[in-house]
Amino acid sequence: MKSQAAGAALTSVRLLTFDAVAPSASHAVHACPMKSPVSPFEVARHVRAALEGSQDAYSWLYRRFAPLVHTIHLGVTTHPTAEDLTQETFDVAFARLSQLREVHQFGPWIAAIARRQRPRMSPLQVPMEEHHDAATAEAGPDDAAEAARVLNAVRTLPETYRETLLLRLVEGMSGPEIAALTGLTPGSVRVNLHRGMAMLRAALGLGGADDEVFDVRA
Amino acid sequence: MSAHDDPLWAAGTHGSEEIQRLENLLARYRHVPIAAARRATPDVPRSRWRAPAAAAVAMLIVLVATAGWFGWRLQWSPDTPWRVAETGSGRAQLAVGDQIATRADERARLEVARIGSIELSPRTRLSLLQTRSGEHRIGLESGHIRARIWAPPRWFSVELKGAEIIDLGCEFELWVDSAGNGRAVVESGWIMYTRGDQETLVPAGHWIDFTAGHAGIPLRNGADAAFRMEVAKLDLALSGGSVDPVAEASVVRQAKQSDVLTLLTLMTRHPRLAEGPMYLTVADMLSAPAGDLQHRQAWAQGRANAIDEWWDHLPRPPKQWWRNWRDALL
Repeated sequence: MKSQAAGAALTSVRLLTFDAVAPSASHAVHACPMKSPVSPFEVARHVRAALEGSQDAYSWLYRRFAPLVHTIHLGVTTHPTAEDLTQETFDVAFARLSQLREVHQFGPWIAAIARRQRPRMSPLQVPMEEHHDAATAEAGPDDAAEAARVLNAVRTLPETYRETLLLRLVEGMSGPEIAALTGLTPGSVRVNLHRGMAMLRAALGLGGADDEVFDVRA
Repeated sequence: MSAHDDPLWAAGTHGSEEIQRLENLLARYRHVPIAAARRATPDVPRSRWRAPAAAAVAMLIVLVATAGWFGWRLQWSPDTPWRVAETGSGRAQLAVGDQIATRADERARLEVARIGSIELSPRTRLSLLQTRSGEHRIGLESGHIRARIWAPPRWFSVELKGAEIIDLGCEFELWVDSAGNGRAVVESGWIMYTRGDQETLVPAGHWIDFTAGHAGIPLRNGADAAFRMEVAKLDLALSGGSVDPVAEASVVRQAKQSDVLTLLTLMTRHPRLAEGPMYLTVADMLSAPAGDLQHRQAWAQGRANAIDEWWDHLPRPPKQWWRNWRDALL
């Protein structure tokens, strides 16, 4: 134990403040602007350009599809590990890009690569139980714990619903954006979202599950 | 409901407060893009010897560079101020004796010499107490910080009211209110919470609550609420000198394999628990011999060697701090 006298020995206390501080990007709740859904033609064009060595095309593919890959990993492991695995997935995918036959199907292809990757965890780390990740002063330990509880509940859902719901609730994507990224039909995405939401409500002990199913049928 | 009115289908539609709330909660897990994507290495045919030779040279260069970088990273002249950067563009320094306080709409980032960084949330107040190679110490009065340190154990510490959090090479978050109550949550590596002679180890994936007068027992992220309550109840009873066999049995019954750290800490803090069923449960969790009466007796008497023997069964003890190398990538 170090002496606490040092704390009392502060002779001059200067207060540093800042004029204006932008919120941290990782904490900004609505920092993700709505994007137009990516078209298959754009995807194919950028894959071909990447194969020809265009660094911009690689960057475009990464920017567009990283949220998809990230949510796949986030569904089965912790947030920091998911970030690491996202990079690894793109390393693998870009190294094998020449093996992609249907170039407009980059999304489903890299999603399949991501699903084959499994995190390596220490026995003390509990992959399915995330807690307090990236909390803020406004969102204190209880909000962080609530976020972890919701995320853990999403993780218990079947893969199809889980991934679609994470793209919606974590990445803030719209249904059309999710359909364009994943290669699913808009109808399937909508069904996944509503059924997933119904299951999530049930898992969290909230009401309204029947309404969700009714909405999908309507 | 049409697709346009459907808040699940059309993000940004404010049709459902519940979905908005879930979105706000989960936004913290959103992907953070890196500056640029890595591109594939061109598939150029190489001769048989060229790749191993290049790998050996590259490895040598990396080793030399790493050794140099490591030495530079750890070295810090006494009382050299730390760099302070806001998330915007302003910059300042924090010298020994200085205090930094963020307003309600401010965040800040401190560079801890060269061994890591601290992010300060709004309404946080801390002081730099000491800085030199091997010993960097701050005092946190109130607020929330997130510290990411990659250095040998005990190089960085946070002084609290009557207690101290010692970094053992890790990333952690810390909330403290002005009364000295708070919580520490460990993301990677280990921390040690010390209060007087009492030392409590908290590894990654666990958290500890504390008040100005008492340190809680570390709990696994996601531990059941009922289990948490029983652990706290048992700890408080034993700390007050009384026995609570009901709480003890309940803790043992509800504990999962991943709660081994919690049980180990309980038994370390209250060695008499080794006389009860908790000893057998922990032995089973650690695959340690449960029938070793000599060991059990030594533990119940609080002998350090018996206690250490089981702590060494944990998969990543604090001394292996270098394995959390990701915390060096700031």
